[in-house]
This record gives sequence, C-alpha cells and structure tokens, in this order.
Amino acid sequence: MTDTAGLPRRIVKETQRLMAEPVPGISAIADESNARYFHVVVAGPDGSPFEGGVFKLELFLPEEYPMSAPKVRFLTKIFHPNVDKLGRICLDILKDKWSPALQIRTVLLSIQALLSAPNPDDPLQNDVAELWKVNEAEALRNAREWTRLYAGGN
Amino acid sequence: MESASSMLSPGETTLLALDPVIASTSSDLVGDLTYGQLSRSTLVTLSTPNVMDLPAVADEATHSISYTLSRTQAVIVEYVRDDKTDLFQVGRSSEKPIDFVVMDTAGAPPPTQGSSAGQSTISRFACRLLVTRRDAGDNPEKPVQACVFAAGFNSESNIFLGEKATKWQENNNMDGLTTNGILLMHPDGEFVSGNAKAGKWREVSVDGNIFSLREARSSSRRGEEQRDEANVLMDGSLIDLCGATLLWRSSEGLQQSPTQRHVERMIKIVNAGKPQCPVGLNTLVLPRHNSGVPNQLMYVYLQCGHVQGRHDWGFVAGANERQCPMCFVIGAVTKLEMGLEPAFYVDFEPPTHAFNPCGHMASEKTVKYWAFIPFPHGPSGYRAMCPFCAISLEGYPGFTKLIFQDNID
Repeated sequence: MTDTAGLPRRIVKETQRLMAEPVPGISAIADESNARYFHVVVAGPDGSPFEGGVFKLELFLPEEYPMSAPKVRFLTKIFHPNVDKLGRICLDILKDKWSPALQIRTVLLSIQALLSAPNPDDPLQNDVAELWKVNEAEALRNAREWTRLYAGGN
Repeated sequence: MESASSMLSPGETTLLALDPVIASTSSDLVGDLTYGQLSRSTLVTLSTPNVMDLPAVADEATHSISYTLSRTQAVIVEYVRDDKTDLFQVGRSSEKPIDFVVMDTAGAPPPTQGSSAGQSTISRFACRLLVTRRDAGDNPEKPVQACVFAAGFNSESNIFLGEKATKWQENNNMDGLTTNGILLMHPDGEFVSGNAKAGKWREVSVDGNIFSLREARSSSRRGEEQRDEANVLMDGSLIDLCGATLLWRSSEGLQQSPTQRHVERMIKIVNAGKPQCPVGLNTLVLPRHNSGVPNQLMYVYLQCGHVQGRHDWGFVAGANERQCPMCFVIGAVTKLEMGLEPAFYVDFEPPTHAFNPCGHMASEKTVKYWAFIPFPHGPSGYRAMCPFCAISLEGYPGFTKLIFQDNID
C-alpha cells in the first residue's frame, strides 16, 4: 500500500473503509505513488442509458481536504448534461454544497445517482442538456451509443 | 461539601442538596450541629430604648427574635430548646451559627436598582431549617419533616427585624419579612420520575407563614397570606435566597434517585457507543470530569444537536456562530459536558439532551424539567437556568436533543 506518513488520519480511515467495504458498483483505489489520488471506476446504473458501461474517473483530495471538496473528473467520455467535454462534473456537493461531513464514498454515490438521474435544468454541457430537454428519446439514444463506444458497454 | 447529598449529622436522615455551583457551601458540616432543638415559646412586649440590653437578647444562650416597632418599642419573641427538632441555618456568614455557607451565583444581577454588582444580595443569616428528629424508638421508616423560615440566628442567637423591615402582628403573633426575602417553590407533582412541573413561587416569613410574592423582591408591602399552604419542604422544593437557589431533596427522594456511580455509568455508556466525529472520523470521548483530551472532546451544534469533534469548518464571518457540516444549520457551538450532580436528575435515563448555551448533558426529563423552572431573577422577573452551572438558558426551549454518530461499527 501507499506510504501513509503525513497523511491525515481521516484520509487513511476513508481509504481503509473503501477497501474493506466497497460501495456496490463503484471501485476507488488509491494511487501507488500518491495516496491523495484515486483511480475510480463506476458502473453505469441499471435502468439508465449508461447501463452496462464502465466509467473511469479520477478523484484527487486537495491539501485542505476535508475542509474543501475532492476534485473529481470523468476520464471516460460520457453523453450527460451535467458532464462537459473535459469530464468536469456539475454537482453541488463538489462546489458550494460541500461539507466536511461528506466523504469520498458519499461523493461517488452522488455521481452514481447523477448517472441515474441526469439534471438538464442545471447543465454543464449546454448542447447535451438542450437535446435532453427537446428530444429526450434522441438524447437517451446518444447516451447509450456513447456508452457502447467509449465505456465498453454493449 | 463535595456533593449534594451530604448527611447533616450521624443518625439523621434528612439530606440537604446543595450544588457547589448553585450555592457554595462550607466543608465542615458535620459536628457543627449542637444548635437546634428550638421551638417558640413566649411573646414579650417591652418598651425600651435599646433592645440589646434586654436579658433575652443580651444572653447568648437564649435564642430570640426582636421586632423593632419604633425607637422605643420592640417585641421580643423568645425561643427555647426542644429535643424533637434540629435547627440548620443557611447564609453568607462564615460564623459558627451558619451550617451551610452560601455565596452568590455568578451572573445574577442585583435585585434592586442602585445596589452594585459586586455586592452580595444574600443575607449573612438568610434562612433556617427546622427538621424533626427521628428518635431511637421511632420507626426508621418514619419520614422526617423539614420546615423553612426566613432569617437565621446570628452569633448572639438573635434575629433583628429593624424599624424599616416589613412586619406585622396578628392574633398576638409577630411576623415579618427579610429585606430581599426567602422564596419557596414546591414542585407540582413528584420530583422523582420527572412528571412534576414548576409550582408557584411563594415567600416564607420569619415565622414560617406563606405569602404570595411582593410586587418587587424588596418591596415594603407583603403579599397575600396563603393560609392553606405550608413551609414544609417537599422533595424537590426550591429555596431562593436572592443570589443563590437551594434544592431540597428528601432522603426518601434521594433513595429513588441516581447516584454519582450512576452518572459515571452513563458516561461510560455514551463512550461505549464510540461516538464519531463526522469530520475527523475519530472516536470522541466524554470526559469524566472537566478535562479530557482536546481532540477527543465532544462539541454540540446547539441549533440542530449534531455532536462533533473539534474542527475549523463553518465559521460565520462576524458572528459567534458556525454552520453545521451535517445539516448546514447555523448556530452556536459549545463543548459537551456531563451534568455531574446526581441530585438534579429526575430519572435514570441516559443523557440524550443538553442545555443551551452551556452544553451540560442530562436525561431528557431532567433537562426538560429544569428548562421550564422559572428562577426568580432581578426585582420581579424570572429566568430559566442550567442547574449545573446556573447560566441563563438561551433560545426556546433552551435545550437541544443530541444527535450522535455512534454505534456504527
């Protein structure tokens, strides 16, 4: 395991618990050389257009964590109104609704929930959000197609 | 006196509960009780320019109360010893006749305008308690009866009610009130179990009669006499000395009440749940006394009740308030401490609630009972206060239900 010297006790505890009791559908593994950097894989939730996909993300705990939010980004391309081309995520708890009572675990659960329930009224990728509002069927078709193409889904 | 439940004397089962915070008391109670054994005897009316010269007043062995009517007239009531009762005296004086020395509770304002803040409002010889004796032949279950009277005998065994004091004569009996008065409140219901509510505050006279409160604490006109009420103390009765309030616990009541050991067991139960700080994710520890490891201490967000460890998140600029990381509600934060005086507990339940703003924890019924007791405050007002530290409660209802993150693992 990564060298934990100088790492806040809280981060150590969170990391241990993520390994001991992983969240169903989510894996988060600390980087070999940087205990603040996590390789994350989220399975597309059943019943969503992302079902069957495997989405890679990166999660970084800044120096001030947990007083400030982790930085999370999709590495896998995804057709989602709240995720932009660079993989950045529009999620309130990663911004002004962050609280140190939240954890890596809760952040990843929220991202999983965002895949189940895209929110085109609070868009980050405007063209995707617009399509989601005017032609949801086509948007869902696109999302499924991207999932198949980029997230290894069928 | 270390705790509320010190025995008054060997063989006596009456217990006077006094908290060091509510009222500081002297440490050497036992063995100072050869006073007592008094009951009223005769009424003597005399005309004299100086009551001090009268035999009953000048004689230290004779207990007397003198009511000065004018410069030339006084009524002296002489008391003789009896072997059926014990007398205990409460007051600010550290002289020998005072069995329980009390000091003003910090933070209490002066009851009258003009009196300076540093000046005590408690009388040096504030009140006296007459407690029936349980003789050798008596059934040990026989309850003792305790009565409270305003004013206490001084070192010369006298009580003086000066010319200006409120006093009156009725059916050949003299009676009067002390300057700031001794107020009495019996709980409405049984103190033990916590189903009691606050009763009405009354004033007790020098002769032990009960009156409604004066218009202001030291007004010269007495209240209405309450002939169907008595100065007999009940379990949970409060005696307000104007600057400190005493809680009376009967031995019967204390037998059904938590002890120090129970309070310590409750601390252990809280800690056994391994309550966790949701921010530091570390285990918090409720200290046994006012100490503990700083990083393990518990803090409560008083608006919402979330219990957390020490951290620096959520400060609100320019206010002494913080935002709770659990629910984002903004409010004051204070350290949690167990209320350590067992005589203040009305039941045996765990400490699930805490007073606002001090953070003293106790059982739900205990906290709710005290939060709704109006303590006399100032010339004619009331306040609710924490019995453990006497600080005025803030907000409504003045307490918080605690939300722990515990028993997770």
